[in-house]
Amino acid sequence: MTRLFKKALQLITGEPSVSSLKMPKKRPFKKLTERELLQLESEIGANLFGDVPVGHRREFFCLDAKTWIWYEEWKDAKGKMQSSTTRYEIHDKGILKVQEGARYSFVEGAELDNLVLAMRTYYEQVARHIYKRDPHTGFPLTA
Amino acid sequence: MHDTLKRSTSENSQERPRDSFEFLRDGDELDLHIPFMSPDLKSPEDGTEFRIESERRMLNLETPRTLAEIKRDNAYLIGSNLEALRHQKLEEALQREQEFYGLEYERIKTKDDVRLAS
Repeated sequence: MTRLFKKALQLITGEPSVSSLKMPKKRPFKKLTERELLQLESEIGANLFGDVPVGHRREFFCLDAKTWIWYEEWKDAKGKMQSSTTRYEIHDKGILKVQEGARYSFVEGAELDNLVLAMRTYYEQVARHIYKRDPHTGFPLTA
Repeated sequence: MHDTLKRSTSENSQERPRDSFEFLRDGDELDLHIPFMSPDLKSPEDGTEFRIESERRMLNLETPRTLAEIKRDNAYLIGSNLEALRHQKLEEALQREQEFYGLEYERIKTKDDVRLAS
């Protein structure tokens, strides 16, 4: 499961980094791919929780209407790279947290409050800064 | 309002991050306002009406919901909105490029795809 998570994540958030995304010279209007949009969104998501500590890499993004991904990567005391992927799935019975090692649990209490608040903050910032839309009405933002 | 939103990561970057959403909220109350999809996406032609109806069924808006169910529904609508925004962005960009290149669009796209694949 761990390898599957990693592979899926690399497909979505792999290199190049968001900051290096460039439009091709020969097609100035070429659209960004969905993956590239996800990378842009994830850059906002990663910074929702304050500065990412030195040596850490964080991804937090909405994969689709029913799936959110939170990925952390860091070096342990021995300098070995460690990572953690958490997937939040929206089910009829609630929001299921899926982690490595077949750990499943429905999110509740303060964690649920915080998760939904993070999603909402993500949505508001992504709508404004990437899609240039008012998050509540969906109308384009005026300059 | 959300500037104070911070994940409770340790200052020691070698320490494993916590595995739940336990960041500080500075006393903010959860806003239960449900955002709605972009109004200009609600056209019968693109099937959005059907999607909204599906959402209504899933959200079961006619029956009282618990607080946890409302939060879950909020999460779902936020994700739906994001998907709609992405889709709209991709469609708009495609349309812009097609208008710019006109009849040359397919040829240029094919050539570029081949270049990227090589």
